[in-house]
Amino acid sequence: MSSAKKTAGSVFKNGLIVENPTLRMLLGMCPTLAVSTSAVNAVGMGLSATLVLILSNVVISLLRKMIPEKLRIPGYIVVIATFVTMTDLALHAFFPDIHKALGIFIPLIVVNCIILGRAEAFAGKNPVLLSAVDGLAMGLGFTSGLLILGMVREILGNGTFFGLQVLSASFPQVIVMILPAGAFITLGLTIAAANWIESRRKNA
Amino acid sequence: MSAEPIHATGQPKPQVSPRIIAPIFIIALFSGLALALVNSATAERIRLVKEKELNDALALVMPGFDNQPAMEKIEKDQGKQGRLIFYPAKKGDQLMGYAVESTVFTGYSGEVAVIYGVSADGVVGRVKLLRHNETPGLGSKAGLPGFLNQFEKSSLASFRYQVKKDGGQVDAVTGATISSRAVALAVERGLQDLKLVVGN
Amino acid sequence: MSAEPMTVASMLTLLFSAIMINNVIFARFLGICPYLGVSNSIETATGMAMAVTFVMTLCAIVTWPIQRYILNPLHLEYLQTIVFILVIASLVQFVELFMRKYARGLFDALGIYLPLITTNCAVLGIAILCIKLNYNLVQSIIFSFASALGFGMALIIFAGIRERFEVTDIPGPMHGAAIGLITAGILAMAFTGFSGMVK
Repeated sequence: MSSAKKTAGSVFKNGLIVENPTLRMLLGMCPTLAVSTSAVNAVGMGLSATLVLILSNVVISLLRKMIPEKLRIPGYIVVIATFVTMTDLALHAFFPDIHKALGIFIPLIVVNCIILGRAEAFAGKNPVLLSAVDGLAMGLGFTSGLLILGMVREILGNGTFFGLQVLSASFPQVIVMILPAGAFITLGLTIAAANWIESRRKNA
Repeated sequence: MSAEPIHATGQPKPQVSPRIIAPIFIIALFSGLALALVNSATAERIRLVKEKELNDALALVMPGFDNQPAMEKIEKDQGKQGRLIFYPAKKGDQLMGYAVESTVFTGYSGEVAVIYGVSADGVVGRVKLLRHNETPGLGSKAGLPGFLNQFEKSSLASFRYQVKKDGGQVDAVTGATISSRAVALAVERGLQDLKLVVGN
Repeated sequence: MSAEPMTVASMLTLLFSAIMINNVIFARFLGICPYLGVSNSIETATGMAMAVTFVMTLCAIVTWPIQRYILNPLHLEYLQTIVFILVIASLVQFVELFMRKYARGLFDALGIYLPLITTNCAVLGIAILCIKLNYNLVQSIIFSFASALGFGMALIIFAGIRERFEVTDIPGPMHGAAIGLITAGILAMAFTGFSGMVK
């Protein structure tokens, strides 16, 4: 990846699949576990983080020659925190229900390691357009990881999918799927499945 | 960071030169300005969202009033215990009852606020979870009708507002006892205080 | 409940519930990244746990007054996120400098974990929770300290289990984070057992 010439396409594929932040790079685990209790929350969180990721990647890429090497981390954090607060305010004003559902995990996007990680590993070294694509791809990769988890947990734990009843009421709800333990175990199994697919792909 | 040379005096070498600090300062300045802008742009909208939320909630828990309950509200701030707001609902000159907004801080992640209607003779009407920070999909279920409906038609005389685990009559949400407890407490505290305010 | 003067009993309850019942990792989902990343051996886990305890407690002492006496009176609540994260980042930097100069032994033991703490979401998360839970300064300090202890305990327990993975025959795709998360799930179930103990 790093040696080959980067194109928008390769950067996009890299973020979404090859280095999928949730399933391959194991970044941003806290929000993944906490808000994946339902598919709606998963998508809300995923898209909020995607927005922050794109904006902060673009601005950090623009400022990459201006920010001194020694103080780059605090600089990145200020930029990221600014966009997180903006997203927080915008969600409160325009999507109050999602804002309510995600609660404390919106400000915690600041410390989501995906965002600082991409600033450090990509946006700080690459031109603006590619950084935007990287932010979009990583964000969508994060969203898809969250969505897989949110789907499994909501269907098994609550019998619903995006709030619609999909399992008949007689099917027992597996409460543990909604509890923290279910979050850890589902994510563990999903990552194992991703590893298995990856190893099959390599051997094929 | 870890490779900083140490001065002979033992002081870390001063390396904060204006040239390094200036860009950070400018970034911070810009982000502060941008945030102030976004805040003032969204403040009005957030206020409207909150106002609409309150009006919808009032109409839900105390249907049929024709006064402006929000203009006649009685507020009681009880510090760390919580906060109570009573909205008198009137039809013509007749007092129908109160919509009670009760906030407690004993939720799993802090503030839990409910609003509910109370008729003039002290019977609870519909209950709505107004604000909370509970775990999505878990504690947040204390906001669903399945849980909140059990408070309907209850009163201090006929109902014990504790979860069954604590010897009361409230069926807690599975896996969210703390959130359920907070909602029950919020309802109970409002009722107890309403007795003092109204004096019946 | 919290309007009464703090008694020793209520402090112990706060301490116990923050460590065991509402454990930062198993119940609040905060600080999972260092939990999965830095718990390869009991030794590194202990180092990280101590560094986090130090910074988290200090953080409560600094962020609470800032919120109460600066942000709230000036109606700048919307700056909470950015101010808190900067406080944490500079606190970590400051602790690093201070330790290097005055506590060389401690620095040698904990120094490498300090930079990682800035992005540990448990530190920011707990600082925000102290405000959301409407705690006073003393309660905030106890809550932060206890939460950090809970974090450290989870980290050390997990490191102990992880050392056993080395000698266990784990199926290929389950290696690393996969088995780690499933183990965490089982630990979380065990910790659910504490949930009825404090009202």
